[in-house]
Amino acid sequence: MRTYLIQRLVALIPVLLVVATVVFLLVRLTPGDPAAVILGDQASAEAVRELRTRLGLDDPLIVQYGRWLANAVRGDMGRSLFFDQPVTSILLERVEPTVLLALYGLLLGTVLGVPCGVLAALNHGRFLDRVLMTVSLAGISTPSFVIGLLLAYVVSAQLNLLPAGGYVPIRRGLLGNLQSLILPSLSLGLVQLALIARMTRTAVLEVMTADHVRVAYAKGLPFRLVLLRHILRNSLVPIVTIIGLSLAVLMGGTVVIETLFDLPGVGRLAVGSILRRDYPVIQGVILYVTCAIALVNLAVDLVYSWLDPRIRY
Amino acid sequence: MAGPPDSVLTASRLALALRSARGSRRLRAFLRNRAMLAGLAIVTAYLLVAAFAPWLAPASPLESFPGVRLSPPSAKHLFGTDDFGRDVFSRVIYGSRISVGVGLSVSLITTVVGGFLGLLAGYYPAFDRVVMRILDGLMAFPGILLAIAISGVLKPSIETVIIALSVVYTPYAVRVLRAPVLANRHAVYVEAARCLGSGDWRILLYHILPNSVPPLLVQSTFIFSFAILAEATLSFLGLGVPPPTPTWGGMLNDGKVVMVQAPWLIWGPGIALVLVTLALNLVGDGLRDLLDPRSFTLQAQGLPPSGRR
Repeated sequence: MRTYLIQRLVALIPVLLVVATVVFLLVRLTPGDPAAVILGDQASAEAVRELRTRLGLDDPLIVQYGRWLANAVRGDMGRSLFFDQPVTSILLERVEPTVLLALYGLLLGTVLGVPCGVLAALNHGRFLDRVLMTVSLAGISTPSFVIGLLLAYVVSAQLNLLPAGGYVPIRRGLLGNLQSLILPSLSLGLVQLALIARMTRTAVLEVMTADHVRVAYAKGLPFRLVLLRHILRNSLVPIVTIIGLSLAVLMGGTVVIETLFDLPGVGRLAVGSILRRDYPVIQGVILYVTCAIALVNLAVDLVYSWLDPRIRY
Repeated sequence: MAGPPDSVLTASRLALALRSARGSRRLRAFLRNRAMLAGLAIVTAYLLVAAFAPWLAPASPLESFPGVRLSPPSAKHLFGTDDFGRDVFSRVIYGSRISVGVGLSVSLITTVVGGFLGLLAGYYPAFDRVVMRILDGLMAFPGILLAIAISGVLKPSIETVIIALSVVYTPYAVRVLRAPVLANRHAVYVEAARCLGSGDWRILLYHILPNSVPPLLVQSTFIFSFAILAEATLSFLGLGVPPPTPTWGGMLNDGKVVMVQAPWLIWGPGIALVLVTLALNLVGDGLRDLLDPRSFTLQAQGLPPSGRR
């Protein structure tokens, strides 16, 4: 286990190196002078020169690259051009809504998606299965922001039940926080629900016909116990896989949903920074979010061995 | 004159009968898959609408009709008008052009470039090590975040959107071709071809590629649908093809602001987007079942490639 963990962490290094390089190149590949692009058309030549010096753009590319890597490793992403604050502290301020949104969305998708998938598998080929699978395919094909627009229109504008935007931090009350995040998490979670339901159905279908399940039935175990102890337990690994994999989708989804519901999270920061050409913030957001996802994925892999003792590293 | 001996005739007849039986079984499986047929019908309609937009649209997508700002659907304006007094129905029809343009280009580029890289990576281990490291890195990004970053840095245009999405989705095409190439590399038929004196290129193109390509074809259908969704997302965020060009995502963004007074602004583009994506997913699922009924990939479950590491 320990060696496996070390192996995996070492394997992460080249991935993160590529990620950091891509993020670095992203800005350097801008057609024209990044400083001029950032400042816009009206900027004086002097202002552009000053910004170039500030961003270190006058150094050779390789020196810039080395400095970028060294700073990135130490968690120093530079200062925002717009907020005039360190990028890291801006990011930390915006983490809460994003993490909670992703968490609620994932929770919703898992809590509802797994039973839906099990139900579909148990009714394999019958009416309920077809209905569930058709609905889930429609769910996968609907972008989260269309679901969000629909929810905002029906629930907020027509029924006036929940706010269509704005965020209440968790320290100002869990209830208000939940209320402000219900519609956004639903918009995100419905897609997750559909994904998880389909994956669960497949996993359960596969296990249902396995020999050990037939043995369990044969020895007279009631259906409830066969389902819980023999079918569900063995379907867990693929379900956890999909939950881990869907994390990147979830993080991508928060970008759109935060913009739609006006939540002050990391995703809206990314979109806003791109519109403001605040390059250090863009770089910081992408680098941190990608690293976070890579680490969570590693954690998911470790959960496997706990769920399924047959997997030994 | 005597014909060929009876036994040869029987054998060739048998082969012919077998082949046609296999062909018709495929055809029957194809026709039985009603979901896929429905999807195919919608996709065809979508491509036709995009191709013949100028003939189908009742008005120009950019023309403002004075005095009918935000008017509800009527006989003259089927989907109503937007806040510039433009005909929403015509804009939805023209919006399909950007959607098809991006979807088709991205799936073509990723299939060709990804296929080429996948072929080489599966065959040459040294190349594989370098390329896969880079692709693993690219796949670590949440797709939409990388796409908005690329399109934010470049000048906003349809080409930028295509480039950004191609970068995001190419690794998934490489992966899908690389695995079967890797498996086929030491297959008996490849060894046989090599013994007969075939060079690497001949083996790759005439022997390995045809035996490895079906999953890639399925994947390009899914990439088509992901690209359409991603294009709509970028336009919705204001980072796609810039206005006034009509795009479904952009129209949804315009509609968001006046949703309470004029909900019809979001119905047209919203329904079009969902319908087309659903249809492409149905076609992809059906295609996978036809080409290899046993295969089971995560894509089949509708997981967008952006979700895979």
